[in-house]
Parts: sequence; structure tokens; C-alpha cells
Amino acid sequence: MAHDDPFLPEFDETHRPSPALSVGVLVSLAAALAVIAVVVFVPADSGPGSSQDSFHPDGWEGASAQIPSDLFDPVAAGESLPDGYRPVLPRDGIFPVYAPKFRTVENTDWPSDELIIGVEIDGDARAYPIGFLTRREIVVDMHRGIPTFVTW
Amino acid sequence: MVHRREVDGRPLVLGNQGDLWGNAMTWFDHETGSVWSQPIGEAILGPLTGTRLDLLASTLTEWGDWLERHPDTVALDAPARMSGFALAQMAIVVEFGSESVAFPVSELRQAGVVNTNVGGIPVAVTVDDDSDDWAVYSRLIDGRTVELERSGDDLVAADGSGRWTAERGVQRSGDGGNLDVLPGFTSFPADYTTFFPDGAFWRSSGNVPVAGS
Repeated sequence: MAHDDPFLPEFDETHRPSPALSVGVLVSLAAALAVIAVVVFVPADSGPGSSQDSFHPDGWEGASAQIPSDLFDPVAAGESLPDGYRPVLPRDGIFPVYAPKFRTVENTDWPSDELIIGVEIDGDARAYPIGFLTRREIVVDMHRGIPTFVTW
Repeated sequence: MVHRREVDGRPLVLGNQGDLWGNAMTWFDHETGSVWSQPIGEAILGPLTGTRLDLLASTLTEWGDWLERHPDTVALDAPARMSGFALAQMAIVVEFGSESVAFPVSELRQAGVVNTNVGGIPVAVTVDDDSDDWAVYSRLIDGRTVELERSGDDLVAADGSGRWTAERGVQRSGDGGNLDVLPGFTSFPADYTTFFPDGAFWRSSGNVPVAGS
């Protein structure tokens, strides 16, 4: 599928949380954030990488996006919060990229003044565009066997 | 920032906690549920409290410069920003949970600021009348949901509890702190209609579902 439309949703069914999980998450979120009326939690997409030209340099399939249903939440559990701590959104309300894919330079059409975060490990250079990170905030990656975590 | 998501040789999967501490983002790990602070890369709540992640070397630069130094680089399969388009023809899209709403910039300019809820999150969307500055803010301030009004270059709480700059949400008076900036992105209405068939366009008279627009 062509990937020149910046608003093309990038569905990745293999990493989509199951409906059952979403219900579990909903229940725990409701408990965690009574101040926010969370209606439903189904991520619109779970990460870039459905196009034919994309790949992962490590051959990595990505991390599971599913939040374990019994995962501890210190905020919901009532741990005393440090000064200045403010609940704002539910967990993964801004949905991270758990299974990133990449493209070669030849298959990339970013403008040259696009701001990026650049990471180079053992000669393996990767670029993560800020414009996209502003929307998704987190990319969980594996870089030459090193588990990395890009945030903005 | 780029961190090594590993503790004692054990990789962690981290997600977005969605809370703010010191006005900065927080994460949670899928292994213990601990909550982490981005600027210090340290767990601040939960079983791993006090544990730090190593920071890895990274650069913030322009794509063209990076490419010159790393001709063999790969690029995240993700769209770059839009450029060369008039914002007036576009809409600001706000997306939380399963709900998304597109706010046509032309109508936002008339309204100054829109107070609404998306996915149950109380948000305010504002665009400057004569510049391209736009922003999406949380209307949850100190646990209260406030209505924001536009006053020149500022946003003011309808109940008089505070005043902030419209462009960045920096507090000018009151005691609620800066406004929390939420993510949004720009889209052409036609693209939004195509790719968000379950979405809706904001209108001053009420949201219009894409399916019926």
C-alpha cells in the first residue's frame, strides 16, 4: 500500500489489544482515574509498519501492546503521589508505537528540514521524526539487540 | 530522549502512563506497573521506585543533516509533518480512545477557543486569529473541569480562576499551574473523512458525524 498519505492509518492487527483486554483496561482505568470519564479504550492504530517497503533492521517483531490485565497501578492503588504529580490521561491514552518498522532512504520522502531524533549504534543509524513523535510520544524499539526507548 | 529499556539485564516494555509529574511525561512498565518520570528516566512509584534507565546517545537534528552524516540510515515508517499548506484549509484533529473530532481551522478562528470533550477527556482547542499557532489543552485543572475563554493572546478561566497564554498555556495568573498540552494533528477534511469514517467534525451548532456529513 502506498504510504505517501500522512493520515493513512497504519493498522497492525497482530499488536492490537483484544476486546477482552480493552474491557479489563476500561475497568482498571475507571478506578484509576475517577476524575476522567473514560468512555472506551481502543487504540486507533498501534504503530507504523504495514506498508510493503517497511522492515525492521533487527528482524524484530515488536513488543506486545497488550497491558497485562492484572498489572499493578500504583496510582489506582493509592500510593502517595509525589508533589506536582497530576493524573491527566489513561494509560496508553496516547498510544505508543510498540512495533516500529523502518524504511530505506530511497523510500522516504521527508523534507530535508524535518526535525528528527537520530540514534546510531554500531553503525546502524535510525531516524525518528519529531512531527510524528509529537502525536505518539513513544517508540519502543530494539536497536542492534539493545532494547531502546525513544520518547518526546 | 532515548533510553536503554533494561534493568539488571532484563528488558522492560514501557508504555505511556498519561500523567504528568513536574509538567513532564510519565511512563509505566508492563512488567511491574511502576511509574517512571521521563526527564530523569527513573521510576517514581511502584516496585521499581528509585531504579534508573541508562540514557543513550542521540541527536536532535534536521533530516537532511542526519542523512549527510549517515547515508545508510533507516527512517521510521511514519509520516513527516505537513508543509506548504495553508492551515486555514485544514482541521485540527484530536483523538483519544476510540473517539476523534476534527476542528476546522476556519471555524476555530471564529470561535477563538472551543471547550468540549473527546473520548471523555475535557479539552480546549484554540487557534490564533492571525497566526498559525494552534494548541490543544486539557481543561482539567487541579481536579476541576474549567471552561476557557479567549481574551486577546490569552485564555482565561470562565470562573476567573486563572489566565494563561493561548499559544503555550503558560500561566499568567491564578494558582493552577500551566495548562497541560495534549496531542493533536492537522489534516485536510477530505483525508479525515477518508481515514476516520467514525469521526466527527466540530461545528458550533454541534458535532457532525463524518458518516453523515
